[in-house]
Amino acid sequence: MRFTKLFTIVIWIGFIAATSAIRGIPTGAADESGKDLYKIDCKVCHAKDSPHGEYTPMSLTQDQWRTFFDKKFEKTHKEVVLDEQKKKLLEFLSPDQIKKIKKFCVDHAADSEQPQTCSE
Amino acid sequence: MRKNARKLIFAFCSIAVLGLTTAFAQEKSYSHTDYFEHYEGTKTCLKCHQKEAETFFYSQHYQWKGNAPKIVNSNGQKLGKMNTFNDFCTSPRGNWIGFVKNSRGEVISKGCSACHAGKGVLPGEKFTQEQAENIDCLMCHASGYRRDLFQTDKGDFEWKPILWKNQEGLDSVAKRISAPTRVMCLRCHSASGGGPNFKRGDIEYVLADPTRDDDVHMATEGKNMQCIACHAGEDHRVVGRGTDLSGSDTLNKQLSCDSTSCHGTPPHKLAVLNKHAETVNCTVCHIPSFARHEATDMVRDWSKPSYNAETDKYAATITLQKDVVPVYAWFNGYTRAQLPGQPANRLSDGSVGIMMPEGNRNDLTAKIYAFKVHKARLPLLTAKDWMIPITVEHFFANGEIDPAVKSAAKEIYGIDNAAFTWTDTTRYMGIFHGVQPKEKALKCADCHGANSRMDWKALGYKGNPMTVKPPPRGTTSKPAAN
Repeated sequence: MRFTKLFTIVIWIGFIAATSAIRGIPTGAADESGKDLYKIDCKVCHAKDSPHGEYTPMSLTQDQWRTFFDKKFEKTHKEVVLDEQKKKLLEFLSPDQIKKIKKFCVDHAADSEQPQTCSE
Repeated sequence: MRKNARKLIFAFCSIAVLGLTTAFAQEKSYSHTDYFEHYEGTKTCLKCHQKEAETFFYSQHYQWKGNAPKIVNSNGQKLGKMNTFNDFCTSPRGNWIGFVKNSRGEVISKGCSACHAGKGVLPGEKFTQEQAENIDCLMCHASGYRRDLFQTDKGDFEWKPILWKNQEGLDSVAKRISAPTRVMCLRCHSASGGGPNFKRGDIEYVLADPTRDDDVHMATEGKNMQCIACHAGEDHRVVGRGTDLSGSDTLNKQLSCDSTSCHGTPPHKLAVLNKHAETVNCTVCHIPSFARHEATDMVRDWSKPSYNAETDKYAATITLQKDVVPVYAWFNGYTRAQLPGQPANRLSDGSVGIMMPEGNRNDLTAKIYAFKVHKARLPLLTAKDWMIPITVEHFFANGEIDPAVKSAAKEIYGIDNAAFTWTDTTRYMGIFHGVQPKEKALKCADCHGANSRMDWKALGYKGNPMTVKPPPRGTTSKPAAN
């Protein structure tokens, strides 16, 4: 019984480490900042001159970002597949990761105290 | 059953009340919400505020100079940062606007106009429509308004809202109009001099949301006073010039703690404290130190360029210091300024006095004030003994100080290939912000004890006046006003 529990924990740790490594981000969830996630998962389609439109945190106001993540993000991104992962964006981004990206965008929006592009 | 129904109704009502109060708390109303549909630049504001634009045009905040009756050697000239120089980034002339890029192609500076409430055109002498439309009202009046520098197709530079491509967002921000808040003022007044709190020492960014220990007047959980509670004058004029500003925006109104609406005269209950208040400015005891959160620039040596590999940017060698005990000196409201084109005013230590408070113990109009004393090393035009500013923008990128000085000498005096030397300078800057709660004010022993913070001899005493009785203060030696 004890062995089975231990085995399950080891398998889970291995799985989390492996999926994080594939995505090229630090293993510990605490190290994964909203800024890092934005760079990896958003900038890839929303860089300068992108056909999908250029977006940085300071493209929108704080209210606009909140509305976007609360009401539009899932609808507008449900078919998005990232080439590298060959997987739908919404399948590999966890709710916690989306929350971190949202916080980064809101904290550095055009009307925040520290407007920022994600490359700064 | 009835009990349960009551409980249910109570719970429902509580949730409804909570929901409503939260909604009210989140929804901030602004006065300009219904005044216009789309913000189309300053002309939107001018439709109703042409007169206000004109008053602002003539103010210090736009002109960056003004009448200088408190500068004893002003000779009636209008003075300010636009036509003098200072010992931090030296002068906005030649450093006004544009991108300076480092060797990696990154923008490391955009010019002094980043903090001018205009869109990039230099302030003119005469109020014109071009000047009116250059005024950037939102900079001081719209919460959440932020801007950036853009280059036009013609190659000119212009400060524009960072939301200029997002009309819906821009409209939302442009309607959030209010009187200036602390956050709006601090963006420029805390960041001046090249870094947080570098210049003033007592205007830290923590004042955006301070505790009582940070500032008893501005404490968010206390009086929550905004900067304009003390500094607002009429017609966009600001009250108060500290000790080292050249221009006085409001000539007929002095900023003082003693006014009847504030602390009155005498301010204390104890006679001994009121006796002190006759010769000691409030700030001496009530601001025991400055730069309590963020270190401030105490020495800036422009003769020794320093390089920051992380930002790939050159700067002067700057010595920062935190939690600094002020220097104390007499001040009667007048200041002697080192002006361009005037021979260097050398002090007893050989340094040039950039801004020196007037007054002494025998001057009955003077009181002892708290100061940050800023030291610097700046260029001096050898042949004339005149101070030279520095064209710092290109120096930030290439670290070449010699051409930066020569370029400024050409700009300000019209002299080619100027020969210059370096000289030490001293500037006295009054400390007025960061007033501590009364429990933290200085105690008798801080000044009159064995480890006194006062340099009594420098103040004109033979020693600690508690032990060496001084002669009565003399007659007035107030300098003639210009």
